[in-house]
Amino acid sequence: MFQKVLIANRGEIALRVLRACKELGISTVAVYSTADRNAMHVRMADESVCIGPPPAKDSYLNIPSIMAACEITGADAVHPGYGFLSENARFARILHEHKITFIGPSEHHIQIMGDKITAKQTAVELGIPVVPGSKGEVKTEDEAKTTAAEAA
Amino acid sequence: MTKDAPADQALIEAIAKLLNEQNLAEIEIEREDLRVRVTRSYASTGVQQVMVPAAAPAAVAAPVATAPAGSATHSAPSGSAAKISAPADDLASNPNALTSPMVGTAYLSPEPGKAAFVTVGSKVSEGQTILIIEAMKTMNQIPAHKSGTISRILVTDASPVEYGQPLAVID
Repeated sequence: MFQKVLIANRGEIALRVLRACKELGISTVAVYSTADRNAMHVRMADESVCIGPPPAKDSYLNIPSIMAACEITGADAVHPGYGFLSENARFARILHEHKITFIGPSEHHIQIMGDKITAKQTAVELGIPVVPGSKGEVKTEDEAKTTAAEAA
Repeated sequence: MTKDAPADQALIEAIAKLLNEQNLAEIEIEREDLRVRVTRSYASTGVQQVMVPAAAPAAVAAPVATAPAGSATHSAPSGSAAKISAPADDLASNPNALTSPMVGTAYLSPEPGKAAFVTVGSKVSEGQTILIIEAMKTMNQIPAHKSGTISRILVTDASPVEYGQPLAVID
């Protein structure tokens, strides 16, 4: 079991993870942008770290900031919630390299299933039936018509 | 809940009164179709958070007579590292305060055992390195945002800092 989980998300998503951690007796670390300084998830967590200014790319999506927050608080796992970094293969890999558990799929699984086109190709290769449609990006109007006709 | 609304309100008021009279922190009452929990927070206990499980039918959670819940402080039951954000918030609006541009660990000297970059009373010019913040093994030199005299250093060597945390005051 983890000792301390850093929750790399905000709002009701972070609260859901916080409650689960409390039930399991795991310490929690909230991270927040300056815009969320007084947010509920910050007040409810055992510890909190301000990781950046309001834009998500500088705070909740900023991998170095979140890694530094893990380092200074000694968190042994990160729960990404959904959205933000939850389907970011690079983030999953960096955490793995730093021996911090990413509470989510492996880097490999995010790579093959995180992107919708790759996910579909993977399913087709494995012989799993998929809904008919284009095999990737549709670039021209003619291609769109042909694909639609084939799918119908 | 609807048909008994006035009765519920009277009940809550009665509980709230009792709470104050008896100087209690919390009263919870449960009957077949109703669950009421009234809590009161004290100024000294800081943040009061009530989590009422959504399962309770007609759960009326009414924090009555709430004392000013210790402003923006973060509760730290584990007593561990939440001191990170403790230093005075009034510094946040002080233009003389140098704030941290990142999350990391602050170091006051260029190398362990070496003299600190600056001490209280040091005269500094804009751009001069005040301290180092280490994040993911990268040493980031933090420059003075203005020229002046260091009047306060707000972090200790090797302490964790978060984004926006005041590091020093340059007057």
